[in-house]
Amino acid sequence: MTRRWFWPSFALPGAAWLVLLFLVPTYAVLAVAFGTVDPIFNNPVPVWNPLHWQFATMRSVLDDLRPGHVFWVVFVRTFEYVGISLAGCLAIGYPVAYYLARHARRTKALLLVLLIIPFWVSYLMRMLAWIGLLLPDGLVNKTLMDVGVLSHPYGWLDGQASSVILALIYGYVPYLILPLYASLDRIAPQVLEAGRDLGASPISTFLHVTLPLSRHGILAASVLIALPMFGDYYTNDVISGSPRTSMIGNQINLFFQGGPQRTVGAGLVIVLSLLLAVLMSYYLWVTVRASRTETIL
Amino acid sequence: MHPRERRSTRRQFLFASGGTVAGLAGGDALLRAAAALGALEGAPMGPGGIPLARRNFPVTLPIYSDNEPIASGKSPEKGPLNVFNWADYVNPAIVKKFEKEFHVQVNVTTFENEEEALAKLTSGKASFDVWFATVEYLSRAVAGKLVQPLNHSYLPHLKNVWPSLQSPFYDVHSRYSVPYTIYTTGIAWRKDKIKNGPPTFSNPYDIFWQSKNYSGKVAILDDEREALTMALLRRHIYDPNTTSSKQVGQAEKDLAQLTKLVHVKTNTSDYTDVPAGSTWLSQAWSGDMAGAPSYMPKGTPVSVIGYWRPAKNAVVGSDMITLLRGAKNPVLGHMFLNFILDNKVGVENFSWNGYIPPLNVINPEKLVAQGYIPKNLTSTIVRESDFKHGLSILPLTTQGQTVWQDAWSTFKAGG
Amino acid sequence: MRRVRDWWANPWGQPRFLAFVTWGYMAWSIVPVGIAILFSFNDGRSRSVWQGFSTRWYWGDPNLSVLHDPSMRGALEQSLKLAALDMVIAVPLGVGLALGLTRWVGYGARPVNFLMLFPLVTPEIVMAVSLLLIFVTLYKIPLGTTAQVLGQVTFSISYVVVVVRSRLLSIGRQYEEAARDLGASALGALRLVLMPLLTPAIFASLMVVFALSIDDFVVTDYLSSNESTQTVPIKIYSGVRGTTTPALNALATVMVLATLASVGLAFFVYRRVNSLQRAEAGSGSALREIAALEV
Repeated sequence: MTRRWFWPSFALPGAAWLVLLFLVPTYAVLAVAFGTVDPIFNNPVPVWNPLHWQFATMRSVLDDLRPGHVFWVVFVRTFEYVGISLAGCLAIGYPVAYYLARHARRTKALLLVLLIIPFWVSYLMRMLAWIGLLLPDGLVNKTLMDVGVLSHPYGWLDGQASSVILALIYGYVPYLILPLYASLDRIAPQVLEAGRDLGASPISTFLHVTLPLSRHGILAASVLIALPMFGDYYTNDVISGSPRTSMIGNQINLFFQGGPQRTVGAGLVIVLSLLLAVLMSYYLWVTVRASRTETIL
Repeated sequence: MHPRERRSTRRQFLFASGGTVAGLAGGDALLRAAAALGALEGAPMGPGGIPLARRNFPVTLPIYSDNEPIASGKSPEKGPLNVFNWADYVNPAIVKKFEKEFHVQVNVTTFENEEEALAKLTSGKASFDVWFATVEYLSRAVAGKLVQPLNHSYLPHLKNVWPSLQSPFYDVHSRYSVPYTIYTTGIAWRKDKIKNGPPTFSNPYDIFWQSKNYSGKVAILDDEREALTMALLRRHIYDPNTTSSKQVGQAEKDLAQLTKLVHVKTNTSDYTDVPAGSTWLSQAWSGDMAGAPSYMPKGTPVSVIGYWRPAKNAVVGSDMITLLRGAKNPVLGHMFLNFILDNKVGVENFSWNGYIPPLNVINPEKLVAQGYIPKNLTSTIVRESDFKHGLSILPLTTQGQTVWQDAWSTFKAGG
Repeated sequence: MRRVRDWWANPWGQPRFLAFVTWGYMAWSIVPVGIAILFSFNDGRSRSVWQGFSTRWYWGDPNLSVLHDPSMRGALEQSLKLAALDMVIAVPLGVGLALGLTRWVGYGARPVNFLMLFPLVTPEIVMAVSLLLIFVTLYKIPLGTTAQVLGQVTFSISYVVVVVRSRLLSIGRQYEEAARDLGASALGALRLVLMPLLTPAIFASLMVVFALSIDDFVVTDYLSSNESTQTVPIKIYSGVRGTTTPALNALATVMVLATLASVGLAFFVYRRVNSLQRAEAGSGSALREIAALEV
């Protein structure tokens, strides 16, 4: 029966790749976090057999996760930044996605092109663009001083949480708008018309028809940008040179740059993954459900 | 470009090839003797049983029976000579001179930080002859048999070096290394922006903790050991290799204060930021400020830059050159080391990279007179007395490293 | 007056507020990048103060321009090299995976599907750390270009699958079944009927993988070895806070142009092939399809 194996065989190379280079490495993180360290060169020595796992590292990581301790502080700050940035992204992104999906008939094509462009501009280049503007002698300071709001240049890049959050919003909002637009686009206009026909005001239609219908789209798009944002460390590194705004990605990065505690870095990765597992499983559930109903996702 | 730049932006692993690790467990008599010696004296024990060198405990690095120096009197190989160095750390003109004089080709491969360097060296794929190392990694490299002992018959120019560095405490009898550059860690500041510089303080390091008026313009080095050490020195703890979690923890708390007080920045770009004026007060390496003249923006005289470091108990760092064990051109490599130690070559090299070679011929007054160093930056010149009375940042045991890294991670968490 | 009031109250009229927000967003989104591109033509060394127009940072300056500075040119070359390798490996793997997953009926399909979706939701630092660890401890693969390619392909495959699968679903089985009815073998139907229909999606996925690869930072950085394996994002990351020259802007601009060119090319190809296949209903404009493809 060559038929039964015909299609799965196409999937085999890709699946094998993912097993070897995605699944197994994930286990390696566990093996390292529960492993030891070779003292000569500070290399991590993974322990593959769960029966021989060493728990000292994870115990110290969890110890520092208690409220008030090092990792707790950073995790809380990360959650804050991601939360605020997500809210900002939604506040900006939803109106834009909505406008694109429901209106803008004539200019739709142009707007879509403009929307897609930042998507294809490297994230770091967009950060580069903002840093150029936020430098002490950059355009932002110049304009604000010309207008009279500032009397001397402000240090936007000197460890300001607001700069980091704004950068996160700027960087991630394109990744939110497109899927949001796609899901809003799928809402049949007849449904909205029905709402209007039945006498609802525009605002009421929005609140009671559009918003609930786009609920899944909002959640999916939010998860889509929240997940990478949690692991983001480079935005903080380039926008702020200060420990005051460091995120959990920065801590993980620290342990992988040298020293004898790469196991701690691996442990932090595990903690981060567990915390995000809730978000991840929700997204996967939505995606699988949608793909099973053969909707374009 | 600064050699210490981007030290923190790489994450590299060292390939502990099975051979090196296994070799250490093996029974080498000399090795065990060294271990016994170290245990008796109470020095911290490093990898491979080689005690970690301290100023009051000099270490004679062992010579293994399977890693002996080459014989004397051999003629140099044809090359090409493969040099492994920090980026922008050796004057290309000097390399060309060597090529001309010895009729060989020299290939210089660069690395950005020691971890990256060691990764390449231990991977077994690299084939270099000469490697520019640092104190922190020398004993490990010896234990891992990455470097070979030197034959001093090929190194007559070693006598050009300061007496105290001809047989330094970290490598007695210069068995494996010759010194390359020497530098101090101090404080750089803009005299035109800060009226009361470090010398006006009874405890100059205090200037950081009293720089609230310059909030946002203050920086410390993004270097775990250097930054915390400064906090230790401020508290008159003159041991940058302490493993006391109480002391290091206190140092971290002091640095955390700086974060709150002045929004302190951590970077290694002081060599451009201070001349450019985006930072007014920074912890800095002497070589950084020596190179300030080339970074001054138009219209700003170099006289606005100030650099201070204590006469005694300054942190003094030194880099060295070593010969790799698998060198295909060991004799040529020796000659390269010898060449670098030549007086003229040393000065020419310094004029390019700004870092002082520890040669007797280096005369601070002459350096100023010849225009190598501006008058207001003579403090960047390192003299032998600085080294003799200075402190060195040296390798720690694993527990020690953990203490320091934990403190640094806490500081970087910005709580 | 009445007409104005009616215009204001027209429920089907264009909402001005939303339009304002949208255009404002577009400006806010694109103008900073435009300014950065503008400064790449700055005559002086500043990235923030305009000092006149010049192309020195592209090819003029003999030491620091993108063309002449070996580290900048090297970064550009490495970025393009990785992107090419990533495309060549990830797209076939992904297309095969998409084909298999869409048509597979059996026990294996579900877990493979999950496996495929995981990289899409994994934060990059988690993936980078896991790849670094496995290469160093178990697979003994030295860091550098090989490792970087392996890493990039790993997260690219899933994007290819998403792009191709949505196209597969909208094509449906009708054409293949017609071909089979006319006597073609399974492989023949695939080769002669399905693949041509899939061409626009394959092209789109090539372009997606190219852009992903060019833009990638974390995985590429973690798996890099030394300066020769730095890519443009890595160069930007390490240089952006210092006093680098506008050559950095120039480098980034070249990258942006390369990406936009490839996107534009793929879009036109997609549109062309799509218009030749206008038979299906409900696919909307090509633009919307591409927009909707981005997960």
